[in-house]
Amino acid sequence: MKDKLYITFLPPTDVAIWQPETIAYLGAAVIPDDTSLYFGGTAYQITGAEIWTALDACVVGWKTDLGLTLFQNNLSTRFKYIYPRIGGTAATHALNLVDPTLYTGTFSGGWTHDGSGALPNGTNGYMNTGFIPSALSVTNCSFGFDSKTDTNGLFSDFGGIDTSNGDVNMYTRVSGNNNTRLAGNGVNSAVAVADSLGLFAIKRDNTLNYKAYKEGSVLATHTVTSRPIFNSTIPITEAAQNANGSIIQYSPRKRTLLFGGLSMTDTEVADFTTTWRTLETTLNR
Amino acid sequence: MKIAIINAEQHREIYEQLYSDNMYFNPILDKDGNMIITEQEIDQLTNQNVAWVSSLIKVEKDSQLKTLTKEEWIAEDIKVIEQKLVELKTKEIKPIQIKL
Repeated sequence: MKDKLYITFLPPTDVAIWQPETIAYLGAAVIPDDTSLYFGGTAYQITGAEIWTALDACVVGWKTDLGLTLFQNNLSTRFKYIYPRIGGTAATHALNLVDPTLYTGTFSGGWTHDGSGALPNGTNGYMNTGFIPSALSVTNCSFGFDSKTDTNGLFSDFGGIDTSNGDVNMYTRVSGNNNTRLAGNGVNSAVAVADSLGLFAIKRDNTLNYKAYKEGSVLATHTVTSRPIFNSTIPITEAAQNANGSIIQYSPRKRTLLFGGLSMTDTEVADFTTTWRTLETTLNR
Repeated sequence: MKIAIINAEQHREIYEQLYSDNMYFNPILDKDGNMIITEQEIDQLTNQNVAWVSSLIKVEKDSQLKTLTKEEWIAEDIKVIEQKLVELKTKEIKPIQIKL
């Protein structure tokens, strides 16, 4: 009998499996890629390995949507902060997927954190991103969040108002309108909206107007009549508006995502939303 | 929504303090001018330096909504002190009889 030669091909150990942002974020969140169970006994039950796979697929999707090279730490070329609210605690929900060492959120007041997201109490709960809008150009910026609560009222879901130097604000639904402000002339722009559920975003890429979106579709193009500058020194807060240093108009809307960064095209906003929604479906929320 | 009313001294103790991991107290004034914190800040308390917070009495309350600056809190404290002074000034002072 002849001897048989068996050849085994082992993958090189230095081949990247995950996106750098996935590794950094879930490392900071202390969620290992294993069978550790999270949110057991709830509708959001999931293993660490499943979280890694789902989040990484989202990061890959976003990079593909935005034309970024895979396996490079480059979400930061388009975003300043993305809080995907994975992990179910204040500590994990405060982490920035773009870079978990930057713009770590600070939660204040009443919040409830779990596998379904982050729920502010609408009375005194808010998060300070620490991000000052002047780090972006007013003609090249976008901001948004994913709302899980349908309410109609004067609640700011994110905002930083510096009346001298430029404003960002999102009243997701008040008096039946999506009412926003993006470095305008101190006046909000409104457009009717059926509910306050889904991914809401505002973006600006020119001096004349900005756009508002709901779940990837354009809600309105709002004319901006003055102040095409962005020198605000007021950090953006979430679930309330930071109005020249005073925190007001607390929101009761549960949220699973908050982001801010450079401007996106209509197609990019739509694709970004679709990719995010796929992750949300996997997380059953 | 339930809240608990706190006094100026209690406010000083929790101001800029954590009530649990990565969660800060945010005492605010309600529409009646009471200093309050909310049920989440009480129920989720893990900071044993302010363990007394867990024994605060929670009551249903309409919410209001503004976070005070340090200067505004000082102004609120001054109001309390001024009110105490008024109370002291209007308090009937009975003469003390001393037996020799």
